[in-house]
Amino acid sequence: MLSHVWELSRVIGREVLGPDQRPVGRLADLTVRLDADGDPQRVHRLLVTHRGASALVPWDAVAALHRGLVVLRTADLGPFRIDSIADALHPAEILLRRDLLDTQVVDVAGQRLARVGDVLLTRTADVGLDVAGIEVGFGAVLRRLGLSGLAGGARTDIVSFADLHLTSERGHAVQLSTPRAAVHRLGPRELAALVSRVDTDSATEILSVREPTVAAEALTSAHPEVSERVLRAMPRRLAARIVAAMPAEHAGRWRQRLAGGPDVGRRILRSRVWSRRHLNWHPDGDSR
Amino acid sequence: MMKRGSRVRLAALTAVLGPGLLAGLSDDDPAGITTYSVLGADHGYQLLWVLLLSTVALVIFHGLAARMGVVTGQGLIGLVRQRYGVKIGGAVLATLVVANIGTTCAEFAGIAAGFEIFGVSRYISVPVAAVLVSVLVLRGSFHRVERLLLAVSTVFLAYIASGFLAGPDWGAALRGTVVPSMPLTGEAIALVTATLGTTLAPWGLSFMQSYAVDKKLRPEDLRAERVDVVTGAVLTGVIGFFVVVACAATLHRDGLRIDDAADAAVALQPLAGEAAATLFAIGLIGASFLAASILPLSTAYSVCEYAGFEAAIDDPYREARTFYLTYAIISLIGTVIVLAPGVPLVTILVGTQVLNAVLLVPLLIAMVGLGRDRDLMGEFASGRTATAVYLVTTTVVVACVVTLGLTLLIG
Repeated sequence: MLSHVWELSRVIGREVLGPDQRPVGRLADLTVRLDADGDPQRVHRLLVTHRGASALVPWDAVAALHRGLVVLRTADLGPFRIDSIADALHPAEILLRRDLLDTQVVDVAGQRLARVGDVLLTRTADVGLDVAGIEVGFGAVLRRLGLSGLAGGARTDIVSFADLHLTSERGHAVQLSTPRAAVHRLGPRELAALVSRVDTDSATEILSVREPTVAAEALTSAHPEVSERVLRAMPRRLAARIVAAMPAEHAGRWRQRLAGGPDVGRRILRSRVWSRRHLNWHPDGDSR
Repeated sequence: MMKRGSRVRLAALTAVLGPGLLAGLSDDDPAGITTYSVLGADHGYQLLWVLLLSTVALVIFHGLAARMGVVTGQGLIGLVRQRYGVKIGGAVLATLVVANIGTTCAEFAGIAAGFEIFGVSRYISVPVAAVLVSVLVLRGSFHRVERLLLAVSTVFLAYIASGFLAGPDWGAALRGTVVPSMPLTGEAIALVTATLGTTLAPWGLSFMQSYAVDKKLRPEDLRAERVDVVTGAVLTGVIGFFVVVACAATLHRDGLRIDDAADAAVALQPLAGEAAATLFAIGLIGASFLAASILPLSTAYSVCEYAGFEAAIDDPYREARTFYLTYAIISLIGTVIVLAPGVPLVTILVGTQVLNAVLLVPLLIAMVGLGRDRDLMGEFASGRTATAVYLVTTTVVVACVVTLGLTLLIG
C-alpha cells in the first residue's frame, strides 16, 4: 500500500484513536455523499463501533491519518452515537464497505459487470480521504486472501468512481436520485450496455429517470430481447412514451410487438431461438 | 377456448418454468438414484417417508434460493462474498469446486455404467457425452439450452414406468411414505442422511439461484416461480419414490443387495422383466446426462460470481471466457478421472458425498442469514415464521450430518 493510497479492505476493522492515542473504537465503515460537489468523491463520515454501540463521526472530527490509523480530535463519541444506520444516513449517502466493497457494479466505461475487489482511497493535503476508484479483477481478491504471490498473472483494473453504476440496493437507489451519478450522464449506447447488464427492474428504473428520447435511443441500440423484456416490465404509460420517442419505423414495430402480449404459443413452441452469434445485435442490421 | 386471464397466467408460468424443474430433477442424479435404489433394496418401503422429508426441504430451500436470486440479481456464492467477505466466500467456493468435480465424476460414471448395460464401452460413451454437454452450453442460447435440458428431463418418466412394471404393494408404499419408522442402525442412519444429502445438494442450491438470475426473473415472477420450484421438488420426490418402489417390490422382496443404480437395473431384469430393466437403465443415462450438463454450469456460475466476471449462457465466449473455460475444465476433469485406469473412483465418490454433506451446513446457515438481511432483500426479506421454518429444516439436516459423522467415527 503506497503511503498516500489506502485500500478500504485494509483500514476497515482497524482501531480508531482518540487525541491521546488511545483506542476509542474500531473503524466499521466509511461514507460518501454522492450529491457532494467535486470529483473524486470525498469521504464524508466514519462509522465507528465500540462495545456494540455505533457512532457516525463526521470527517471534520479527524485530526490526523497515521500509518493507516485514524486519529480523532475527541475521545467522546457520545454526540455521534446512532441507533439505526438506516435512519442516520443522509438520503444521498452510501457506506463504502456495505454498499460498494465486494458488491457487483457496472463499469459503464468498460461496459462490463464486475465485482469490487477493493476501494482505493487517497489522502489529501487537508487530512481528507478521497475515493480514487475501485479495483476489479481477481488480483485484488488474491491479495486480500493473502495470496499475493499467486496474483502475478491475475489481472486487476482500476475503475474511476465516476464511471460506476452500483447494483447494491442502496447504491442503485442513491445513484438514481443523484443527478451527478454516472447513470445520468450516459449516452444512449452506454445506457444500452448498462440496461443489458442489470436486472430487469433496475433497468426500468434507470430508463425511467432519463429523457424518453435518450431511453428510446438506448432501447433501439440494445438487443431486441433486452428491449422487449424491459419495455414489458415498465408501467404502460412510460413504455408508451419511450416507444413514441423512437423513430416511426421502430415505434410501429414495437407497438405491434408489445400489443401481442405474452404469447403462450411463442413461449412454449418457439423454434426461432436465436443462436449465440446473433446476440451481437447491431442497430444497423436486424439480426432476427 | 381459454379465457384471457387464464391464458396470461399460463404464459407467465411457462415463461418462468425452468430453474426449479432443472435444479430439482438434476438432484435425481446417479448418486441420488443409487441411494434410492439401495434404500428400496435394503429397507423395502419402510424409509419412503425420508423422501417426503427431503422433498419438503427441497421446496423450502430451493424456494429461498430462487427468491434471493430474483430479488438481489446475484448468485449464492457472489452474495456470500458480498455479505461475509472474500475469505469465507473463498473457502466456500473452494470446497464447492472440489465437491462439484467429485460429483461431476459421479455423473460421468453414471453415463459409463448406464451405457455399459447396453454394451457400449465407457471409452466411447463418456467422451461423447462430455463433448455433447459442452457443445450444448458453448453453442446454445439460454432458451435452447433450457429447452433441451427440460426435454432430457422427460427421461425420468422411465422410472415411473419402471416402478409400475415392478408390481409394487401400493398399500405398503403409502404406509412407508406417511408413517416414519426406521431401524436404529448405523447403516440406516447413513442411508437417511445420504438421501437428504443427495436431494438437497450444495451445487443444486447454487445452480438454482444463479440460473434464476441468468433467466432475468423479476420479483413479479416469484409467484409463478414458486409453482416451478414446488413442481420440480415434487417431481424429484415422485421419481425417487418410484425408484424405491421398483427396488422394494423386486430386489428387497427377493433379498438381493446392490451397490449402485446400474446393479439395480441389471438385477431388475429377471424380477420385473426386460422392459423395467431397460427403462431403469435409460433413466440412469438420462439422469446422468442432465446432471453432467448442470454440474459444470453450476460451478462456472459460482466461480464467476466470486471472481466478479460476467457469467451468462447468452454471453459470447470472448465476453465470458472464465465462465466457459470453467465449464470445459470441470467437464474435462470429470471425464479424465472416470476414464483413467486405476483411479479410486469409489473413494472419490464417497469423499464427495461427505464433502457435500459438510458444505451443506454452512451454506444453509448462510442462506438463512442472507434471506433475512433487509439490506439485501428489502421487502422480500424472510419474516420470523419463515426464518423459524428455515432454521428447523437446517437443524434437521445438521442433526443428520452430525449423527452420520458420529456413526462413522464410532462405527
